[in-house]
Amino acid sequence: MLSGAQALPAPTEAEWRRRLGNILLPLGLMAAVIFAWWAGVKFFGIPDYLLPSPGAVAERFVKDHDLLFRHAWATLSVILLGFAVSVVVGLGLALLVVLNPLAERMLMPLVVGSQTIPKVAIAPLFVVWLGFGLAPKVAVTFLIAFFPVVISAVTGLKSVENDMLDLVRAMGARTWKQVWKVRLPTALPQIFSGFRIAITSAVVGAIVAEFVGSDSGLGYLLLTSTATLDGSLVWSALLMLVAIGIALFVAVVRLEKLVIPWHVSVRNAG
Amino acid sequence: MTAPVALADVIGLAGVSLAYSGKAGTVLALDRIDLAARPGEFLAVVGPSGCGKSTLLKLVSGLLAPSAGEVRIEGRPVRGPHASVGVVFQSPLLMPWRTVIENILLPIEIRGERTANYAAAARQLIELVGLGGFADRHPYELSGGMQQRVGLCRALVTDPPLLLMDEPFGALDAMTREQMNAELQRIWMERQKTVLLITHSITEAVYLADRVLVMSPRPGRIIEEVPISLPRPRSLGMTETVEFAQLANQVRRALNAAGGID
Ligand SMILES: Nc1ncnc2c1ncn2[C@@H]1O[C@H](COP(=O)(O)OP(=O)(O)OP(=O)(O)O)[C@@H](O)[C@H]1O
Ligand SMILES: [Mg+2]
Repeated sequence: MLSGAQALPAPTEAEWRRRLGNILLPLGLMAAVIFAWWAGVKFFGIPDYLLPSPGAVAERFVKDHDLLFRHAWATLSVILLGFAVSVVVGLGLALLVVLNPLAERMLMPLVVGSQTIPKVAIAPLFVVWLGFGLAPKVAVTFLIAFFPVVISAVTGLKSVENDMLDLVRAMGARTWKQVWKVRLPTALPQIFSGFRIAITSAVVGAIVAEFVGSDSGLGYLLLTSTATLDGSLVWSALLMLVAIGIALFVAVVRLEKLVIPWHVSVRNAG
Repeated sequence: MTAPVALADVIGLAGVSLAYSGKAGTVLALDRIDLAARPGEFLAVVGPSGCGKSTLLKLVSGLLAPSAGEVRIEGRPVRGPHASVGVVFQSPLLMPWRTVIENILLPIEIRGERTANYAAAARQLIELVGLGGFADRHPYELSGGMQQRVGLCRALVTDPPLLLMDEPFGALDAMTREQMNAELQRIWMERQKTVLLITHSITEAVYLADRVLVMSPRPGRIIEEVPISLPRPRSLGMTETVEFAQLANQVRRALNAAGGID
């Protein structure tokens, strides 16, 4: 019959082995890294405040998990809020720039210029301007994360074939319908690759903001625990942060598969 | 309405020229074209590659504005695209994120009408072009010729009174092409459409058209008009008659005089 999925034979033994390998090999690599870490600390006799052993970090993680999760939650909200604002503002700017050449000439220098400002230098100013709450942290995160969204969305929205636009114009579509029916769907793959970079940048942005002016979050925890040479807490916080970063990245990739299943990059990934 | 619209030419071009201007200078694609299509008339345009056939179609559809002269549809000057015209472009231009039927219903969506009201018509068209069972497939699962037929359905779904087609059957095998030609003739006779068909096939032009217009190499001009008075409905058998061969030869000679079809 025509429908391909049900006609496929059941997974063979080789197929099962491949799937198992897809799970076991990454886990194995992680185990190897942890082992090398453990062996290095042991062999070179590295002191705890420089690099604690994995066991010490795990112990600390269990003991202080309340504290870690509380700060992780604070950081996560900054990341997500900053990312959300970046998506909304970034896509809005990209649309404006693509639809209006004058806006492009006026706005793009500002967008690019904003990236050359050192974030560490401007973060304290945000605290002065916006107070000591969530706002300055979201602002710093936004400042880092919106850039990849704008750049990728502009590229995507512009890479529409003229013939495709002619087609919907001939059907009577005005600017907004052209955007909605052609430009946006065409741009989605590019937009999502921008999101992937943006979510990772948002993690960095949130930590920078918490370094500079905060009394909560993993950035704050990193700062204070480094100051007190509390190695196992530093590493617990760092690993927590890495886990958050990876989880968010995976979430964006999952969303992408859901939204653009028709795209080659998704189809070929199998 | 006061003007006797029904009597006006459906398509009217008077002294239409079009020049593309790019970085490398301007290219005169069309040079002083005069053309008139009466209501219900089937026109075919043949001409060498690059002579401006697609450009002509874009002018009539309102996608391009002429550099000189005037384009009229149903007596009114064309100011931009108008939804009463169905266009089949030279490439299928299907949206990869839409299924076959969603692609076909696109013009309905753009008009802001309910697609449910047209779903039955769309499925009927899918059957008609021999794509039964593929309604919910995506374009990447279709061959080039199948994609072209989807493009044809998309132009027909609104049942437009004026149909513009740019080599709609170029990617089809000879057999399917003949079937499509027969279907097109049937639809045209049933629904009283005015058709402007661009084609590379002399047989297709003579088989389908009331008049065949022959264009010169770029800058494109209409150098000959061959009226085809064969009776309707025309059958495939007719393509083997002497009259048919004579008409086809007349078109071919005009093309050769102009510099060949390709
Ligand atoms: N967008 C454009 N910009 C500049 N020149 C163009 C453009 N589109 C077409 N041309 C030029 O105009 C001429 C006519 O092009 P057109 O596409 O109308 O030819 P055609 O008769 O449809 O050819 P074919 O049979 O190969 O489809 C060509 O010489 C081409 O180089
Ligand atoms: Mg062409």
